[in-house]
Amino acid sequence: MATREAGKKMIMLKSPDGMEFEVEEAVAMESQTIRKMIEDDCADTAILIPNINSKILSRVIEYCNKHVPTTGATGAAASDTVAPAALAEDLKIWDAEFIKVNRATRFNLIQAASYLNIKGLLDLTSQTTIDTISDNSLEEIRSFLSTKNDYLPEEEQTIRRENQWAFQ
Amino acid sequence: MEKQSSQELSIENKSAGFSRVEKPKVAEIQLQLLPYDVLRDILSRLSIKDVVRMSTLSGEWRQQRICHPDLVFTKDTFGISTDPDPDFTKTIDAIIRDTDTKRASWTAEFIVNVDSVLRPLWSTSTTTTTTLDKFAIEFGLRRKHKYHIDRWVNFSIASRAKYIAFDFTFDIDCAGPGCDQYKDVFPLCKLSGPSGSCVTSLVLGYVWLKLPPSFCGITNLRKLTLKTVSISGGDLQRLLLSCALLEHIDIEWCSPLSSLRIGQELCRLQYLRVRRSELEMLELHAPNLTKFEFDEDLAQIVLSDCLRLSEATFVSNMRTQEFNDYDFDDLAFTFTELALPHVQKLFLLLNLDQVLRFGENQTSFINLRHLNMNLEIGWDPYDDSWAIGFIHLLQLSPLLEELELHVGRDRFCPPTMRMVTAVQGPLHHHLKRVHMSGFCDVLGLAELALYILGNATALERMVVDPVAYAETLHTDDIYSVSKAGSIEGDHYHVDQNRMFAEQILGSEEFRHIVTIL
Repeated sequence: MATREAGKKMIMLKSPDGMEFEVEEAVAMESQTIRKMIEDDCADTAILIPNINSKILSRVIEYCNKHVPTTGATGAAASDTVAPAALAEDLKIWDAEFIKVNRATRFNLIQAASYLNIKGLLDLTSQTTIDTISDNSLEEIRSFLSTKNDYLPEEEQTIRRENQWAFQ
Repeated sequence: MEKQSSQELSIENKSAGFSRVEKPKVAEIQLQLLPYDVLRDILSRLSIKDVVRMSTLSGEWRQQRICHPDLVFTKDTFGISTDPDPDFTKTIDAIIRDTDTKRASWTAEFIVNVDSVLRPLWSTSTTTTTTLDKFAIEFGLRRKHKYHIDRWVNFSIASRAKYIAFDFTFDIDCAGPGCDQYKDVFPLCKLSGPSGSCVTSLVLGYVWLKLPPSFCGITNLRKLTLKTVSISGGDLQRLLLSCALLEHIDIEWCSPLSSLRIGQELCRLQYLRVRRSELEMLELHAPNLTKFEFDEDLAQIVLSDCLRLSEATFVSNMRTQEFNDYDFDDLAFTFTELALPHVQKLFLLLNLDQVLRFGENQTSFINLRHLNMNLEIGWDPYDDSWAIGFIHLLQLSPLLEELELHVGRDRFCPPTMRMVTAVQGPLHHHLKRVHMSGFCDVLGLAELALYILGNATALERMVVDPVAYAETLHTDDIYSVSKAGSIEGDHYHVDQNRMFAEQILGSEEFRHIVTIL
């Protein structure tokens, strides 16, 4: 399955729902998990990515495509014309747009980033969760995490009293 | 085959469609269902406070016993105010009583709050299923809090934390030998043997360590930090020798240690820092030691078989001592020997008198390539003899290539009209680069610069900066050119000092080498 196109090695990624994605090896290697498979020579033909459906996988590939370090012929040209700071700023804006997805997708992206070991994507996807938990009231966190308050009123009071410092 | 997969895909799309309209039945973010590592990663980026709040979301959450992987408890964790805020209209005695009451109250608050976090995590009174990366208590606890300290030590061990800190140096109200009675006798034996085998890093502060005969070392300890710890030289020696994997040792303000001589090899030791512990003699055999920092009064340091020691820092507390006749006999003003034959990079903070005496019993720095001297000028020298001591130091370092000489900010040397001639000395064949900051008309400095210009046959560049950066009195940090830009310089008499530098070093014959900033 692996082919060469304009001197770039290609890798085939397969999702469990049967979709196949041909990506540059460098892009796929943004995932430490895939990198290890390639380096261990376990990636002759196609790599099956379990647990990650095609919809999520395509988004992950989209992320990796954007974040692969710009090296090589085209990359060098890009970094010649664009200053690194501007490039980083551009990536930030792109990330912010990328993460505008519903909670279920974000949750799946967290799991995918974790399984594929893509640190940047994991940071990006879990940051919203972290921000929400840090900045909001207990009720808002409950609704964000779809958690039901199942305490009896007196139970809740006791717990609040015991952890008073955390609610100030 | 193709059909089947496209069917699967359409099912997938449907379910994705469901979540897009956010029907309540569809699992949204069920954080607790995330893989353990991911959940832990998310928790580690929250504050302990946030995680505690989260753990109380519901009964279900509470049962999960989620916990921040780094339980580092300080006054800031709980927002405890520890400002004694004395009422100065009262008598001194009343103020002291008030402060004691307040101290007792904020300590009680701290203890209650730590326990509120730990309570749901205990499985039994001594066990827990929680696993931590860090467990740290950083607060001013004393011997009278032993009951709590011991329970927390038990928790830290049961949680299999890799990093453990019991640092009670916060708000020390009693320092010195008489204060041992207030220090908790830390139960170090609990970490000894299999029970403490997870601990790789340990920090102890303001405790008393007495090693029981049964103590057999902390099996996997790599990094040990002792701050204001009471420990005898014998016990410290036993502690260091029994922890066979120790790589990093940091000791400061510990007593009573008059000497530390360990005949056996500390074969894993890579980094050693000893500060303000009144050591008079240090002798170690650490073949893999690469970095060494020492900040002490008078000492003899023998690290002669440290073949890999590449970087050493020596800061002398004596830098602040005023020279006078009374002190002279008591305080010999210099260590007797700094045996570091393998060191390649050496940082020194000394006063002029120490520079003068530096070479007296000194073995050569036969591998030294880079020397950084921060020079304390507490008083103006009477003559340029210290420069001769400095030249002796250069002689002891025959392969030196790079020299940094930073004169401290406390210099009172307005330029005067006088003759400056190079001090006499031998040729130096390897010195290529010299950087001097705080250049001024202190007797001997210009003489030294002229010596280098005349005798360093390989010299390529000399940078002379009249601005002083080294803060020799107030900090333990050594200034180096690599810190340029991060430290505000002292511009005292800078124009006169620049003029003086121009006058002495700015002549045509040195123009291709000397840059005056």
